[in-house]
Amino acid sequence: MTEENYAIGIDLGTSYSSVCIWKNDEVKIIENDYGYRTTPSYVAFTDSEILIGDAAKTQINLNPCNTIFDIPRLIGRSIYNKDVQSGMKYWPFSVVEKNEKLHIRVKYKEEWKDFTPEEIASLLIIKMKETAENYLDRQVKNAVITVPAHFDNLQFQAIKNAGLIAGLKIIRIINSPTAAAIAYGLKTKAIGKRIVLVFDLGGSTCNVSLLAFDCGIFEVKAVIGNYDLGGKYFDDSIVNHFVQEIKRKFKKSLSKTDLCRIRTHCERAKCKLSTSDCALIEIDSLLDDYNTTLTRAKFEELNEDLFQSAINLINKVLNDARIDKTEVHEVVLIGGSTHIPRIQKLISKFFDGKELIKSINPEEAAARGAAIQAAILSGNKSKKIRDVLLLDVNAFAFSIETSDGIITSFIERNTTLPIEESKLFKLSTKGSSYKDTLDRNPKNNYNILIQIYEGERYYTNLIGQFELPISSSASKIEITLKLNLNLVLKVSAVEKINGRNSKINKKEITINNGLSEEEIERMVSEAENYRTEREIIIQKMQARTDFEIYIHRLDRIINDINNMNMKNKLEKAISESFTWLDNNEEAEKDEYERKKKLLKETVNQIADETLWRR
Amino acid sequence: WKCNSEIDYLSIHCNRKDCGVIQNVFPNDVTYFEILGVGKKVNGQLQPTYDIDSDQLRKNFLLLQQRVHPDSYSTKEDRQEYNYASQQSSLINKAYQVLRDPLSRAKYMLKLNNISISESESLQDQELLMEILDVREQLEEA
Repeated sequence: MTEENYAIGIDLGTSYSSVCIWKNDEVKIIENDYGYRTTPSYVAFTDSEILIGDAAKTQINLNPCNTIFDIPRLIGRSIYNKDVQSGMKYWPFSVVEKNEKLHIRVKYKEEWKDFTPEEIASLLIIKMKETAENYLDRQVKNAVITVPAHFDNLQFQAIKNAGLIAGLKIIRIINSPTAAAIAYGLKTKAIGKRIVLVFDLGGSTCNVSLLAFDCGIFEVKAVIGNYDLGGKYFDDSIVNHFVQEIKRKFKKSLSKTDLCRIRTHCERAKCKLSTSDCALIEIDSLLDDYNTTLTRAKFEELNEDLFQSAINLINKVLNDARIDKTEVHEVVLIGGSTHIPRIQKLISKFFDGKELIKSINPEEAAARGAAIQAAILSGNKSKKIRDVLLLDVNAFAFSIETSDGIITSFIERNTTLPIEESKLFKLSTKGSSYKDTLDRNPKNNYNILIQIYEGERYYTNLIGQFELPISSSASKIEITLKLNLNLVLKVSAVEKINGRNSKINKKEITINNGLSEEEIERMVSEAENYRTEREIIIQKMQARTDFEIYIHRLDRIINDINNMNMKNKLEKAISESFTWLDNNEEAEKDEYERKKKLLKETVNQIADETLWRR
Repeated sequence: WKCNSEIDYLSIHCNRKDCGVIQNVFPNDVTYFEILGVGKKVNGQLQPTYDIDSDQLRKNFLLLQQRVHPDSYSTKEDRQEYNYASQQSSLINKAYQVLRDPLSRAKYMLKLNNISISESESLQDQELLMEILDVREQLEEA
């Protein structure tokens, strides 16, 4: 493995993110600067700086409107998306539409600024990248990233762009449960074919992957995702329950800040209920210190419908893969919300009392899998992963609508990638509605409009279109869809004259509805600015801390000094420095260093004087 | 294509030990049965047959993918090798997808014999289709 293609694995979760790397023949999870193995997926903007991760999450109650979370729910989507609309009801930050794209509006350095979700995601990616770089002590340029299974083509591209903005090339995007399956499969190398179902219930998504393990090959049979399900929604039910109760009992309306605080407490209570039967909810200075309790039974009652829909998802993935539940060898649980006892019970019951596998760390499994895939893609020759191969599938179907309004399906859901599909269409001039027959565009006899759709039945989304000019002698056209491992879709069309491909009338497009190259370039340079700004702040804080440590050290030393004259002088110098620090919270790096140097000189002088007098 | 030596019919990689480079996809007239190495052996060639061993099919598919999957070529400097791997892998996926499912396998066999059925002709009844195919095979053998 060469330096250049050293790749890391990142799990960009709705609530938490983590980063892993393949090193010395095993996966290593990298701790962040706080020593934690997961970093909250939070970004906050303040009067002076941008905070990412733990620093952003801890200050959310003080600065709710400028603290962004839930980024995977926003990225690559329009403001009119159903899930975005429902999220907007409780997100304390504001989501706006600008240039027909979704933006997040925050106050940064006393000024209103609009950011795209890609930019916010890039800040999170930068954080994970830096965490890895600090650990490895070298630059990282490539990454494999995991996303929820319901991510569509546009969201994939948005994630890739976020990577570009962060200075990382995203060499592969995999679904989180599929990634977790690799991590699990590698840990438990067994002989023969095994069917494994991975159930991933995270912060705000529920994803299921069904795989067949066979001699190191991980063949994905089917994947499914739902973004209406997850920890946040369980919190929602509790929050709603208490808000109703407060309204009923105290007739008080609650502010967004209040709601934010109630949510934090409800989340804590929910986690506690995974191990105990009852949780106390105490919220300071809300209605004279509002206290209440939540029992596990009540929690389960509030969420029973949601829990049930998680089970339905398992049923659906089995149907898609045409595999009976009795054929499943192992059921693996990942994601924080799978700690909930009721969920475990329901799943076990669904599989007729099967023992569930909870041995892999639910919060880290996806990042581990991503790191393994990253090692494979960067050509790592380790014996452990040499034969490992992931045969992944697409989560969405693709179809083509031609000018006669007939939709022809091209690539089905859960098709093994890469895939190439070609279909021939006969041309006709009169309005016929036979399948595989195209009408020439009535307005323009020599052009055919080809529209590309993603999804099927209830959910179809126009993701691209183009016109193919045709000559009068053409009798057929051939349309080809190519979908590669990174879900980049290329659509080409060519007219056929006497069974041969025309050299003139052919076209190929790559579906790309994300950001333009110029937009990405601008964001890259802005991201670099933020980075320099952050570095300046970090250096500043470092200088201040250095100074503080020095003063505290002096303070301890002088306690043991017997010479009263010297002690007094030193104490005076120290207290002056303390006062200066208190009055100068926002001084520059140079000033802190200068002050420290000055104090050092004063101390040396005092010491010299005392010594000399003796 | 890289070392200019002759390539055997149906081989994916160059046979020369010092080359071994992945090749372009098979010519159009190679059937999915030949690609995945299943079917009835007649004079050393694999002929399409409805009755195939699905375990063998899967095994061959996985072995082939292990050899051609683009993931194994992602660090190759020559992008042409990566592109050929992608094309090979796509074709093998397609072949497996068609042969795996009895209905699409039957349709594919009909297509090979220049008989096309569209879905509107309601030949969706799998049992009927299989019966017809059985009869066909019996007739051929007779």
